[in-house]
Amino acid sequence: MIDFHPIPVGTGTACGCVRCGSAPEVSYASVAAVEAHLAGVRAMAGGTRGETAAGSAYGVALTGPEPFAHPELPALVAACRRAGFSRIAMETNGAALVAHGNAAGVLHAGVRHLWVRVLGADDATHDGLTGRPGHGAASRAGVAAYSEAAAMMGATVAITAVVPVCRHTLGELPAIVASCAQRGFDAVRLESAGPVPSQAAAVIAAACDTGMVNRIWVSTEGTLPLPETHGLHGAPDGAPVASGPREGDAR
Amino acid sequence: MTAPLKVALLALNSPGYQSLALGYLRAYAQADDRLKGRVGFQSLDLTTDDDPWWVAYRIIALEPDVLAASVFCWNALAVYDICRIVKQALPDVRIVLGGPEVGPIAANVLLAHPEVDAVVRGEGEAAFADVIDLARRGKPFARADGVTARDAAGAPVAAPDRALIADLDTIPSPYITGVLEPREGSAYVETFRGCPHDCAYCFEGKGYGRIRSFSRGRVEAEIALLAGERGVRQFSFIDSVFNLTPDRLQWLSDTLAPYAARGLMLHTVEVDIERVDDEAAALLRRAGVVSVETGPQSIGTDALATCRRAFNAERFAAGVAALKRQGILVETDLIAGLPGDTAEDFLRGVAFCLSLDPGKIQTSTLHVLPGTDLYLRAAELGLRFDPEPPHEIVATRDIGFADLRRLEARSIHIARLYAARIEGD
Repeated sequence: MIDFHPIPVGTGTACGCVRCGSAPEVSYASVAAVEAHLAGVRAMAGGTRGETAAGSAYGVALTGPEPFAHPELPALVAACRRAGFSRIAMETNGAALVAHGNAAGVLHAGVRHLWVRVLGADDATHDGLTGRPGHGAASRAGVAAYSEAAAMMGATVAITAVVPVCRHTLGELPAIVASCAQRGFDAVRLESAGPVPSQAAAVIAAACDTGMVNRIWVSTEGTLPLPETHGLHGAPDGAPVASGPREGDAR
Repeated sequence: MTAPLKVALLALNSPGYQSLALGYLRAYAQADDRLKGRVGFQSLDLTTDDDPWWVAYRIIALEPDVLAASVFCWNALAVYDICRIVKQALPDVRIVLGGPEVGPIAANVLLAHPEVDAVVRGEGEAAFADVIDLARRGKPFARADGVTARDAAGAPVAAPDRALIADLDTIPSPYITGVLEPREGSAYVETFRGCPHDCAYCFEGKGYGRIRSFSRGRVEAEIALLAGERGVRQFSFIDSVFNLTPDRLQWLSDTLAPYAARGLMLHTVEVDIERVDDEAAALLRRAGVVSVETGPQSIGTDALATCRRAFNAERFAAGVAALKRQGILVETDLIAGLPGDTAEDFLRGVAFCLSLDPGKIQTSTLHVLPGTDLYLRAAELGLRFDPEPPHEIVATRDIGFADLRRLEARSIHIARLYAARIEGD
C-alpha cells in the first residue's frame, strides 16, 4: 500500500555491496528525460495529479544512482512537484544529506520520503561493505539532520532504511534492524540483492521480530524467503512498484 | 461554626486537553443549596504527563477531606497510583471515583483498590453532589443512588441506580458560571448526551440509552460567551454525532456561522459520514468545521454484524467526497482486533480508506472497555484482553497475539506514509 512510481535519475545504484561485485557504471539522466518519464507516469495514472488513490500508487521515487551527485537535483525534484505529486521519495546513501544544508534543502524542495541504504549495523561494517570509508557516520548524521529539519519545519516525513540482503549482510540483519531503530528510522525494508541460502528465512524472521521488539516496522521484498508465520511482513508498503500499467492506475 | 468540607477534584487529561467533566461536577455541586457555604472545591486539571508522585504531593498539600477523580481507561493506572499514595499520607481522606472506566465495574474497583471509598456509576453530577453532602454530614456514601460504596466491614455495597438527569439545563454551564476557563483559545462544547448508535465496542453512549439535549438557548449562550467575550477560536464538540439530525445540523451551522466567518474553527467533530451529502458538507463548512472524524472502524462483514454497525461503502465514499469538496479533512478510523475480523479484513479496511484519499488515516487496536457489549461477551466471542486498563486486546479467535502487534505496527507505518506529503499544493 502507498507505493511509489520509480523515476530513475540515471543508471546504477545509490549504494550496493562491493563484496558482491564491482559497482555498475553510473550515468545520469537529463532533466528532460526525467520530465518525460514523469509525464508517462502521469498519463498512465490517467489524472492530472498523477496520483492514483484507487490503485495504491501514491507518489514518485527518485531512484537509481546517488541523486545528490546529479548535477541538477533541484530541477528533478521541482519536476516531480510540477507533475503534481505530493509524495516524493528519494533513495540515497544518506551521506550527502549532512553537507551544505542538503537535508533541509531537499525537505523544503518537497521530499517527504527518504529511503536510505544501510548495509551494516555499525559504521565500520557499513563502510566496509559499501567500500566508502566514512559513509556510515556521514549517513547517520545526514538522517539526523533531515529529522531535525522536518521537526523544525513541522513536516511529517517517513524515513525508511533500505537494506540490501545478500550473503554478506544476511547474518547481521537483526543487528541492522536494531541499529536502525536507534538511529531514528521509521521503518526498514529488506530488499533482495543476490542469492541467499535457504536457511535465510530464519534470519529474516529474526530481523522482523527484532523490529517488533524495537518498535520499527520491517517489511521484506516478495522474493526473500519468509516463514509463513511472518506473512504480514511480506508486503512492503511505501516501496517502488514495477513500471508499467497496473490495475487501478487508470482510475 | 463547622469548617467547610474540603473537596479536591482531579482529572488527568491527555496533554493539551482539559476536563469538561470536572467543570460539570463542580458547577452542579456548587449550585446545590445543601453545599453552599459548606464545601470548598479545588480543581486539579492536570495531564497524564504529570508524575503521579508530584500529583499526589499537590493533593496532599491541600489536605482535602474528599478526593474525587475522573477515571478513563487511559489514565486509570496513574489515578490508582495517586489514590494509593494519597491514602497512605492522609488516611482519613475519602476517595470517590467516577467515569467510564470505573462506573460499569464499580464493585470490582472497590475490591481491587482498598484505598477507594466509593465509585459513582453512570452520570455523575447529581450523585456526586449527594456524596459530598453525605460526606459533610458524616453519613455512609452508599445512601446515594447511583453509588457503590463500602459497608461497615469494607465490602462493596451498591445503592440503586440513579435516574438520568431529565433536564440537562439543570446542570449549570461550567463556562457561564466561571468554573471552567477556556485554555489557549480552545474550549469543549457538549450539546447532547447519548449516542444514536449502539456499537458493541464503544462506551460513547455511557449506557444512557437515549438522547438528551441541552436547550438550544443554553448552547447558544455558551457559544456566544466563549467565541465572543472569551475569545475562543477553536471548539471541540464532544457530541457523539455532530450531524445528529438535519435540523440540528442546520441550527448548529446557523449558530456558529457568524463566529466561523470571523475565524472560529471546529476540529475533528464526529460525524455519521454516510449521511453527509453536499448540502450537509456545506453546512459543516459554514459552521467552521475544518476536520471531521469518522469510521468505518471495520469493513469486515462479520465484525460489522457482531459490533452492530452499519456500513455502506458507496455512501461512505460519497460522504468523504462531499466533505473533501468543501475542503474538510476527513480522519478515517479503523480498529484492529474486532471480533470476526481477520488480518486480511483489517488490511482491506486500510486499503479502502486509502482509496478515498480522506486526508488522515487513524488506526488503533481494540480496547475491550468496561460497560461495552464486547466486555460482557468477551469469553463468548473469544476475545482475550488485558484485564488491567486500558484493556488492550491480546488475541482474538481470528488473529493471534503476534499478528495483532504486527497489524498495529504496520498500520501505523502506513498511516505515516500517507501523512508524509506536501501540504497545500
